[in-house]
Amino acid sequence: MRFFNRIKLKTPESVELEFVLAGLGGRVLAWVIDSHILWLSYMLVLVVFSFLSEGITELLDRTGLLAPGFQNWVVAIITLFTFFWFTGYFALFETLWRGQTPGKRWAKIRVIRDDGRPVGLAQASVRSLLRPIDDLLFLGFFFVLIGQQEKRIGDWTAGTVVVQEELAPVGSSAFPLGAKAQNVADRLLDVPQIQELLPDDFAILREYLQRRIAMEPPVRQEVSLKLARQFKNLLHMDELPFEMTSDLFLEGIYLAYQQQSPEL
Amino acid sequence: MSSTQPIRPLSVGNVVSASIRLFRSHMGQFLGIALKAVGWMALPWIPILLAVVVFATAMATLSSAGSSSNPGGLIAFGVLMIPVFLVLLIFCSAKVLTNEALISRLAFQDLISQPESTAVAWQQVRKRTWHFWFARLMVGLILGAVSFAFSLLQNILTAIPQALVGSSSRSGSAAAMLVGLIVLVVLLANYAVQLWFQARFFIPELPIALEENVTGDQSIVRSWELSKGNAVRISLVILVAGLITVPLFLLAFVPGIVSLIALAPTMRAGVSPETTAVFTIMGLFGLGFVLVLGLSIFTMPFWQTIKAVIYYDLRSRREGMGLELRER
Repeated sequence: MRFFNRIKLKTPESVELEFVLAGLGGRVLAWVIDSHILWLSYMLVLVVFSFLSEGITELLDRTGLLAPGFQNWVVAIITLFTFFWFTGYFALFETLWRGQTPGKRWAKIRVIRDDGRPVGLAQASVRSLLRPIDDLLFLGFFFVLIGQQEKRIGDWTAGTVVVQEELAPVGSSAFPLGAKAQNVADRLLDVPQIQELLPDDFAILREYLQRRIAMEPPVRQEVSLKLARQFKNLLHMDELPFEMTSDLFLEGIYLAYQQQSPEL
Repeated sequence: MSSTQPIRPLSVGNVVSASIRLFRSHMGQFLGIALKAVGWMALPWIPILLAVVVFATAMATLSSAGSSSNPGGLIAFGVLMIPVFLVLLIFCSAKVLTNEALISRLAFQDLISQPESTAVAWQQVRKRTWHFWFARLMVGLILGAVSFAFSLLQNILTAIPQALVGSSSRSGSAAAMLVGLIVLVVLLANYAVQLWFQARFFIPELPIALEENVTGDQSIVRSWELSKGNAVRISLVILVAGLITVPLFLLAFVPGIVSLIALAPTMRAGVSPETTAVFTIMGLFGLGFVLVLGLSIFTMPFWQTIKAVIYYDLRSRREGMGLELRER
């Protein structure tokens, strides 16, 4: 779609790859989700940790083993833990999940290197460590908003770019067809014009069959009738071979087209 | 749009990203319309401001002239101003809403690759002005009622556990924590419910602006039905889009605060502390007003574009818009 920024990347083998950039919307959505996970889990861990340290302090005190500087150690451990929790979350997830965090996975976006390769620990760490600078006065936000490649400071430094996940390959998601669809398909396979249908027509047909469940019933009926009429004309059929609903006719064409072109 | 890929439903993030791109590609056009709308927004307040100034000076001269003169005439003038102001407010808000709808219409027409000029689109929306106004009023009343009802419920639900804990003699910290948790959950639930309702009534002006012969009340029903099963997605879009406008507020407030600091010494020079305080408060108020209006020039077209993309997405999800075979 023309409303998304695209970017061409060159791999080390000089192959040109095209990606759709993640866009501000997807990135903010991912950030919202990640922030929630991060803060909620941090609070939870902190509560557990404070109970533990309280218990240990009491135990040590009772046995007379409590060293004088113990509380300082607790504070130091919490500080270190906080740092690693907030930088580690992004760095580790992006390394282990090939450029994705839970939020990015939900928003269907991914960090990759400028040459199209997946990010490693080095890139993910740089991005994560520079995150506080990007958060300062929303600097990163404005960088993404204004820049052609939608890179925040962390992205520029690490040499990474955030792109959208590839859409699921065509025809991968299953959808239910009526029981009589194969019957109709068998009859339609005798119609020679079925081979003249274009992949575009088939794509529209599949879109309709996939999405019809979410449509409003009266409008769905209209769309179905309109498509059935268009296909009837394309197939040069004056009338349908037998009484059937427009949906059944469309399902039949879908199966017949698939079966006459085995590569689909 | 590539020829092999029919329009697909958009993800939450992509609704927002597409809106930003759409807004950017119409930046000058949309900002111009928004400027006009903001002008209409500010207009009814100017006579009010003038009336207040006139009233205040008149009262001051009267009181200095002694108690012999009668302030009745002035008060009558003030009361008379109220209906005049209301009529002006209604007229101007209708103008604001029409300009908002104009932006959404232009954005949507571009989305379906049938772009219109501002003049052509204006011809279409201007005759529907009062439908926009009525729809907005009704949605305001509905959302107001929802907000009132659920806030009442929230108060009841949070008061009960608090009262129970307060009355029991052996209330420990665990009970207090539990109450706190309950209150938090109720608050969040109330927020979610209100957001949900807002999502269902989010786009009433779009059907009026883009479909033929849709009245205000029909468009509210249509917004409700189009958004059926999509309320959570729309809520998320509203949240993400709202977050995106936050940095803009920062941008707007920085010059405001700087100018206030710069103005402070001149305001203090040679006047009594009371006058300084009054000036500061008036200055802050005026600044806030100007800032909100100024920000609207940017946020309003953004929201109207978001609405256009949501409408487009809902039509393609719920009504299979664009699902037809190519002519050949």
